Amino acid sequence: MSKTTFVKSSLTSAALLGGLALAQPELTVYTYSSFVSDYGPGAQLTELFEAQCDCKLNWVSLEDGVSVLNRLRLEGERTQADLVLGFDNNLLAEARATGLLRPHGLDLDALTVPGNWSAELDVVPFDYGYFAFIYDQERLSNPPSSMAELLASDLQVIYQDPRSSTPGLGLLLWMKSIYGDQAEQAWQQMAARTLTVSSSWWDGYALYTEAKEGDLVLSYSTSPAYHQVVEGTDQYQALHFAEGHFMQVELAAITTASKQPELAAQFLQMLISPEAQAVIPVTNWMLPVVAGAELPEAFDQLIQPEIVHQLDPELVQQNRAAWVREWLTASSR
Amino acid sequence: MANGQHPIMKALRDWPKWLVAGLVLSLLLAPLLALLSQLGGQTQALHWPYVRSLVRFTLWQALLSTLLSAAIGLLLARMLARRSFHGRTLLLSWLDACFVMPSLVVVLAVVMTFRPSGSVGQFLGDGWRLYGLNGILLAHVFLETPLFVRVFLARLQQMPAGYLRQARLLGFNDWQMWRLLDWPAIKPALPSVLMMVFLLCLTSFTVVLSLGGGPRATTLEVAIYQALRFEFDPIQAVKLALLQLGLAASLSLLLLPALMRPLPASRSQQGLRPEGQRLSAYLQDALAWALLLLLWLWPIWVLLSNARWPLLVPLLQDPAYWQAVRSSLLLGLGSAGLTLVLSLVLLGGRGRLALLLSYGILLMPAVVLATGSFLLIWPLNPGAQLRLGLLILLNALLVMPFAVKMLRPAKLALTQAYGRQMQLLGMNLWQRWRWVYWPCLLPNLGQAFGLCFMLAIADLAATLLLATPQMNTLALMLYRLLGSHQLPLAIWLAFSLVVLGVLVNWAVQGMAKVWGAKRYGAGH
Repeated sequence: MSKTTFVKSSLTSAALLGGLALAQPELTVYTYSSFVSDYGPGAQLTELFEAQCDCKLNWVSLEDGVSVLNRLRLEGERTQADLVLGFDNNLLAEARATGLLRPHGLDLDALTVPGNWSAELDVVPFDYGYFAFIYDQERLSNPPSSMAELLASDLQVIYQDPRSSTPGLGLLLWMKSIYGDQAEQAWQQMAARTLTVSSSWWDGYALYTEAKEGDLVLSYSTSPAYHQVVEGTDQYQALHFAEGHFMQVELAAITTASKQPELAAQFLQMLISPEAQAVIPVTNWMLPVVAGAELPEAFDQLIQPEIVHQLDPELVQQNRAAWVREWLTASSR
Repeated sequence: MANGQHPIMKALRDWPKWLVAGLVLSLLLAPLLALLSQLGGQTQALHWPYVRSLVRFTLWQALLSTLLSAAIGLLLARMLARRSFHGRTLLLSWLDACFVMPSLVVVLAVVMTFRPSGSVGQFLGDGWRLYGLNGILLAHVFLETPLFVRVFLARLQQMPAGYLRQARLLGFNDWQMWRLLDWPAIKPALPSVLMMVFLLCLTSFTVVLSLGGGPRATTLEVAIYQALRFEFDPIQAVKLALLQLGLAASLSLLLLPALMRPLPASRSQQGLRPEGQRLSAYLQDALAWALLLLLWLWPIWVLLSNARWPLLVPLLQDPAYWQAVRSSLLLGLGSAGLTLVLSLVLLGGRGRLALLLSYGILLMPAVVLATGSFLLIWPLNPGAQLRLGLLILLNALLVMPFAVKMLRPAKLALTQAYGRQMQLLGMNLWQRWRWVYWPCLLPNLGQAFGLCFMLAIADLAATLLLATPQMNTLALMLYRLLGSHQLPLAIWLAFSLVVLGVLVNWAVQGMAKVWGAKRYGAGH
């Protein structure tokens, strides 16, 4: 192609793009990689939303939930994001501390997710679940029934980095809830059990289920439903731990940088609509936040944690850096 | 005197050189200043137990990688020195190619071959773990051994023929050959090549990032990236970067002249060695062949044989793929072109300025430079186009020492050969370039461009730090696919990266040849 034609064609495409942008507002959403992967809810939610908004939904995929928040902090007021989706209850205080979340004005009274979410004016919970280790029945015959057994075993574990991934952060807090001041020793034991620490949930889970490496992978109690529904197998099961499980509520919010907060709020409203809530459990494989969403039978067979751990977001905010240091030191020794 | 000029006039005439030097210097120093200016800010103190284990592992993996590569390199070099066989030259070219292979392609080959379910990994027992030190060592040995082979083999083949004749007469055995001839020949070259490889492994980023597998096997270079990207703690990153700078710079200072020396050319076989027929030599050579097969031939065969055609079609229909090809092409062409222009201007005179600036660049680890640039542009939050421009600038800077290394000796040789004539003819700078340097340097320029292009499109450190999530390059795409273990698809990305590199190399070197022949006759 000659230079002039190249310039001309770039000009034309720029004009075309410009024209499109004028005709249709574009809504940019930062989220984690698996949410918009081929298997994730991204495509169906786009279809749902674009049918009602006369706009274009633009997903930006970041590694994992903590990265979403990090990216927002990094870009500050200049961020391109209208919405951030996929940070969680544990990061709530930190997300607010950025000063970049904007009240959404939605009524959340109808939500059935555990916790008092209708009092929160700037975040919308869109699914929830419990962290759990997943094992492959064909590869592991005698799985541990508690965290203590896991740490004392000779199994190879895959988990995620708490600095980038919300399940990784979840495990950090889970260990803290179980072991308190003894967490460092527990992490040292875990270090000997670690096959690899992945930077995102997606990477770690693919290593376990696609590459078939390791004995256990950190994920959610709801993950077996995916394999049951999509692959028709009960090969993968969640481990029910005697010490209890840690709960995660995934959140979305509008940024103060957004120039179209009404449209963004419309997206959040769609996210908790019955239609979207029917999509999310069978694509993101988490529990819905509204009552009455129809779930496949596989969801009835999931483990039901009796002891549910949670930590106050303010406490997490104050201690996250120190706890991450503790984990780093213990697992690099 | 024909070119007798007042120093001020000379400096004035040289203004483009000084302008470029100033530009390069500020590109180098601005990120460093940006790093230093952060230090006053608030942060947690460096966590020493963690930093200690970081430094320990950084040094340990570099040391092991270096020694292993050196040992295997020695074994291969001696085998190649005493045997002549069909395809020997081909094998040598292949090893050279492995040295410039994009690290991500090597990582993919290592993962596919040595993971527990891989074709080699399955025989390594239950306790075998790829992620961590093992994987890092495998990839480093793949990448660095060829350098040792190149240097050792050149040394062995430079041995005077008389030595070999005498050794044959005396019927030296393998041990005597080694003690009396090989070791003394290799020894002088050893310190600089050992340290060079140690430095390369010390600052290795891509390999450790993709094969490290957690805090247990993290190096400073990767920890800097994590502090910035995972923890959003620029100040922590700066502290680690300064530590890394201290570590790497103090090492590079020791071997700067060696770093810029051109690599010795490999020669054809000469002189029969007497120990070749001994059993110990046969055993060693068998081991050398086994290692060659296991580490440099089999993993690449695994890549080739696992390529699935049905996956290629959807990839070729994916606009994201073509966007990645486009950015990689722009990145490679831009960086290589820019770096050649900068180097050529700097190479005016005796090229000492180019050498000096190359030293400066070699002292600076890529992640440190990228971190500094990141801090500079972060408040501006530029768009994708501008970021790509910055990446081109940064990569042009990072590959400049390689261009200078390849061009400077050729240009000095030309000055030596034609300098007097040019002076007698009273040729000015323009005429010298037009009629002497440019036509004669064309082949070298083609080669340098090709190498710089290859290095720039393989860049991950700067790209990961500076790219927006929407941006895509072939290297980034390959890195993401590796992460999510979509290995069959990753193979096509690896191929794309290599094919793009090879195609551009061919095109540019072919162009240099045709152009040179057409314009100036084939005489040069």
